[in-house]
Amino acid sequence: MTGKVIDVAGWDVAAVIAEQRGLILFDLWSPTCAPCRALAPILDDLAADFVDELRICKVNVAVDEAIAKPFAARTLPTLALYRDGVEIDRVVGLKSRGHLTAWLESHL
Amino acid sequence: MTGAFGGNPAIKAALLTRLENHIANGTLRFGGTVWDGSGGSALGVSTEGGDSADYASRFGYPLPMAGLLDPLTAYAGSDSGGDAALRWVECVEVGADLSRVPQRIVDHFLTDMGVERLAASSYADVRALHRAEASGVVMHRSEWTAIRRRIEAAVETTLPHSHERAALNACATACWPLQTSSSILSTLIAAWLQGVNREADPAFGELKTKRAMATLDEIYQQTQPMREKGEAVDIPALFRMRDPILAAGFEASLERANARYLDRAQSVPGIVLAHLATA
Repeated sequence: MTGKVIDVAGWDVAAVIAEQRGLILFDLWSPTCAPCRALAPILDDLAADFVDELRICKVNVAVDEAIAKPFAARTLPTLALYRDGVEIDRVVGLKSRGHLTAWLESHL
Repeated sequence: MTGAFGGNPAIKAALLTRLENHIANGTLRFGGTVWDGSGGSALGVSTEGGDSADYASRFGYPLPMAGLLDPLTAYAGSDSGGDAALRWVECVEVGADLSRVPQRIVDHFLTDMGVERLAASSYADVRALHRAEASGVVMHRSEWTAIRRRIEAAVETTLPHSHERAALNACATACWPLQTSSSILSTLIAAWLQGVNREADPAFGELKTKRAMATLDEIYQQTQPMREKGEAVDIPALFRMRDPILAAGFEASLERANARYLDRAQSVPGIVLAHLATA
């Protein structure tokens, strides 16, 4: 794992989900969403904190609605957590690094 | 990289030139990190991207400092943001060791929030972790989490909106490894800025504040059914109709709080740059 948030713009997200073993966190965001921008540096830090345990991918829903569709996110930001290709939990809205760390650790 | 700018004056000069050009062209923006291909925030134009780690690696600033650059220029405001971005570079000597600066900034803001008095034990724990990290001790995430959870548990024993709670929350906010945290300083400073909300406003008074909050809460509860139906509800207007004198006093108090917040925000660049300059 890279320890960095990966921008999956233009990727086949369905394939990423299907092929990924272990945990993958999708950040569904938009450039016009202020809480999404506030969350971005926190996710950068989480990618480093969980470097060997978790992959974090960001999905700009404003750029490609087709990419966003499978996630059915009604509010931004939405963090959707997948394990072995299946969504196991999600968090909606801006949360602190401490809150998200506790949430992720509960799924390790 | 050997110290700031990799010890290479040409890197510093090129960075300053780039910033000056964007300022002259009006393409340096102040707010969230952004790079749109022709302009953006200070970090955006410096890296022609938006990655704090990339900035840290290219220019030799610690990661938490890189994460603070764009919030700092935003706090300076559009009139002074360009100057702040330039001073951020100018005040650092080529080759300077900036590794201790994040710790000093953390201590500065925590101390200003009264942690030595209000949360001495938690502050000591956080300092011990930061010192261990600075001396090269490798710590697993769980060691930070254990201390942070202990502090968060202490938070729950304090009164809401109290200075003690704010001090403990600030300690929890600072309880992350500095070497891998781009958001720690910006988050801590945001918490420090929120401190204006705990400052008393003698011109309005605690009693009137409580009455105003109770009235607003009552209006909020009473209008819940309307909001659920999707109807527009103007709570400030309803407050003014119900108690014009109290509402006017409350709004004036809010304006004073906003002015205090702005003053504090605009003081952030000076504080941070002073720490950078003395590295």
